Amino acid sequence: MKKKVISTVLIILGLLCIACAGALVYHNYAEDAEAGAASDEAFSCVLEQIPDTVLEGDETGDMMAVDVDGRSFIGTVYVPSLGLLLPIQSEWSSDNAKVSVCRYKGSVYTNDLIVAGHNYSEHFGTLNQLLTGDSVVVTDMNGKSFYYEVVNIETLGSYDLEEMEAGEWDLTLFTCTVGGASRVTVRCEATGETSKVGDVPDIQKAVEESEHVRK
Amino acid sequence: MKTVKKFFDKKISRILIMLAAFMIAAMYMPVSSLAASVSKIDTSRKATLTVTHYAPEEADIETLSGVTSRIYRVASVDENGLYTILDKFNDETGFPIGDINSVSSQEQWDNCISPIMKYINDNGIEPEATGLSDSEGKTYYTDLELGIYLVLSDSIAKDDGYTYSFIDFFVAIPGNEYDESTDTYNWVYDVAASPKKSRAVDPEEHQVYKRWDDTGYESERPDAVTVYIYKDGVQEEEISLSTDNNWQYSWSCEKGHIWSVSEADVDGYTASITESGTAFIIVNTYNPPENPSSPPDDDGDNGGGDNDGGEEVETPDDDEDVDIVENDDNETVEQDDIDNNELDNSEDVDNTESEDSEGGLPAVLGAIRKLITDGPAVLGARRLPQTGQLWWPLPILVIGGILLIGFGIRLRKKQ
Repeated sequence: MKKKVISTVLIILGLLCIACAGALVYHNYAEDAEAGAASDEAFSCVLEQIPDTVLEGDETGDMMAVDVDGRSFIGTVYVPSLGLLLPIQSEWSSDNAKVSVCRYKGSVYTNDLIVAGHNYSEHFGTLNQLLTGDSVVVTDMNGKSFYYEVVNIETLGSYDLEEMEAGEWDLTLFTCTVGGASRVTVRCEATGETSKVGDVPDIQKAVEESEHVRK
Repeated sequence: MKTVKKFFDKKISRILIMLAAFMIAAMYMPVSSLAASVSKIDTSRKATLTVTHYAPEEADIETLSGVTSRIYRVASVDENGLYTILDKFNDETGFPIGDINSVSSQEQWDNCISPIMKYINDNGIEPEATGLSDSEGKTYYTDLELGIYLVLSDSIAKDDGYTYSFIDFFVAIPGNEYDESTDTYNWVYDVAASPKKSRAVDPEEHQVYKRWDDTGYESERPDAVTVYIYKDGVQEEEISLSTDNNWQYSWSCEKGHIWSVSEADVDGYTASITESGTAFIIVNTYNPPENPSSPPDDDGDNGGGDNDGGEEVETPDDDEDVDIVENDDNETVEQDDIDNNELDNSEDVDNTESEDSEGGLPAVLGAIRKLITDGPAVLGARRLPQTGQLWWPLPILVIGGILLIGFGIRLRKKQ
């Protein structure tokens, strides 16, 4: 009788575990979809605040932010080969990361920008598919685009803060591996190409090209 | 009798034809008048057309250089002044009036212009010639076949801030000139014409954009800011920038004015204004309190400062992370910048948990995250931001579940 009770309890516990696994999968996929939609909405709002022509701005200080529903956005990042076009929030937080990728540190003006993003499929989830030589474009809120080229892709541990900030990389993008224990880290160098003041911002064209932005 | 009628019909027809020709000439040509008697047209001759683009009287300039014009030959003319629509326009949609010689009023001619222009565009008809006005505003067309021409002119924007436009018109070549000595009208094969002109102010668009320099203090932002717009030093407008208008505003006005903007004081912020072309960028920089207890922090990620991790706290680039800002009293104060790297996520995790707790299972996931992922310091070490979804429990749950069920079934079988 006692064994029967134990066996029943074990089976119930086993079923509970399977149910939890199913719930976890459902939750993650729902969160992923929600993050993609939130990012698209935020991007549209950021895009509306980018001027029609590239403005001349102060490029010595911090990157200026625009307000979108109480959140701060400093620009956008465009990865043509992945079809990614995402707004960048001014600082990282778990809450912010549910909406879009975030600045972890630095600035495009000082060639040390580091952008962190969740590995949601519509955020930085496909970052590990980048190849050396791929193009990355960061656009500030003056509409000025800064062009970069992927030069190195490495995997860092979750405690490798110093390594993350080490080196003279002009731009770094990173996200978690699927397991979450490591960080896929994409290092980029500036090509020197930037959009010209008075021109139509390149981001307008990028919107047309990007498959990520939901029409 | 028939011959007489034919003679009169021909005569009347000829008079109508001449009237039509004179109407065109009288309407569009400065030198012309009605005929007393008319000679035959020498159809073997070539003609010239000089189009002069004058500026309106109120303009400071007299003639307009650089105006592009095009001429389209719509009809031919015979020695008696009878016009025949050219084949390429001989279509109801091309020339809306069947008998061009029946046109007898300016209104009819005017009504023909739009359909013909549409016909030209739709059918990609090339102009007979294209020209550009010289420094005297003149465009010379030479070696022209005789007939009726449509003259089109492009608008042109000049440095004086105005855009000059011209009325498209028909001109008959040859034209007529009255000779008083013989009381006759002679055909003129070197025709001069100028279109009616107008000018409009070339508007210029100005914009004002709102930017923020207040990382970590977003909650201090006002819902709206008031901006004053000045035209030539006099306040022209008072506007409000907010989420409703995407924190930007634009307006148009004629060129030649000096515009400036200012912002009404915003508590805790200092405004700086930069001008780029016709745009103004107002940057509001937050001035933290001189002795801040802790910065306001919506999500808890930002306000950790450098000390919450003790000695083990990584403080990369401390020099870069100090902002020097001026407060309202022009007193320079130093404020430790918010270090994005210092991930004190305790409050954030609490928030996550709080949000998630509404959903039952997600609350459990939030708690797991708190323990496993977002915990900033484990035995003094600091982590990079956790940018991954919680997938690792999945195999454990699945394998564990299968094992438990397996054991349970096995135990039951043994029994």
